[in-house]
Amino acid sequence: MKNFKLSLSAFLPVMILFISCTPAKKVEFLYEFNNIPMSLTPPITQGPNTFQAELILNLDSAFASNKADRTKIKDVSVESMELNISGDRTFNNFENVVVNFFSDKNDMTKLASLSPVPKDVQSLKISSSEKADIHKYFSESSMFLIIDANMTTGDTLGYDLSMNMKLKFTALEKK
Amino acid sequence: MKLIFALISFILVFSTTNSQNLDNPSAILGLWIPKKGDSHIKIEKIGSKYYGKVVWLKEPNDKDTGLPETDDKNPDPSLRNQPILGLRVLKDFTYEGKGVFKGGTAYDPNNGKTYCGKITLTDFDHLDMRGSICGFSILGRTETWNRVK
Repeated sequence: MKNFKLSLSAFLPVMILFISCTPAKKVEFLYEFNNIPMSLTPPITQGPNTFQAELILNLDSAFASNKADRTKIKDVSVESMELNISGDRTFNNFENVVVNFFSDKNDMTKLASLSPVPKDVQSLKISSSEKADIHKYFSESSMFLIIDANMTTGDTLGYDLSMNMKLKFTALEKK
Repeated sequence: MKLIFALISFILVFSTTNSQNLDNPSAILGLWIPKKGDSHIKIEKIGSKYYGKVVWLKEPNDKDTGLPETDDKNPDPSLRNQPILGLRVLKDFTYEGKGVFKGGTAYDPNNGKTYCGKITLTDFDHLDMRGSICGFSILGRTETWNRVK
């Protein structure tokens, strides 16, 4: 009996150490932000202009339903981005667009760019070819989506854009 | 006596109006001309911080190639192809009150160097831009920018 107690007392710390060192499983899931409004009020100047939208990151339920730990986000990548223009307007006045993320705690990060912008279209598919480290933004409660757009000419009318964005999150499993 | 009273009233009203303008962080928004006069910088608010980007260049194209001027002196080689037009040269300034914006950086595409910056609105149409070596605020220089009218 004494020997059993002795071996148990030696075995138990090893077991605890083993369990605590077992790496947590990684969880991947997709999340979509749809119809993020981005307006630019006139007068629009020729050359660089900035659209911005604040994203409130109510992601707790998405993380919970995927059993992922929001405090342990390992990676966020952009699966797809689509920029739409409302009304009967087109992107003809846009020379190029650059999409950035920004938050009050983190500097601006360039996410994707499109140049030249195709003509006579009301929807742009922007692919994020650059490997940007953007996971840092998603532990915050809000962040900003910034679009830098170069305009061919000035304009007395404003622009109403909306962005659809699908992101892939990789985080550690919530224990 | 009436004249003195009127003068005092005028000075009081003027100084109050002026300080109200300068204590309004929105007063910095808009187009500014740096001292050299060869560019326009648009200062805008993104989130709670202030940024400035190049929106006009006197000579937007390279004299030799005829192509748009690029940030060819950037210390990061991957950024040397980005056009100067549209470049954010002022970043992350926060309003400290009384017309002063601090905590940001100012990038000079002419030499590819980034400085720690302090912006002071001296009146509605002028600001003092101070750029200094980060950590050594004594080592720097100040230039006055004018608002584009």
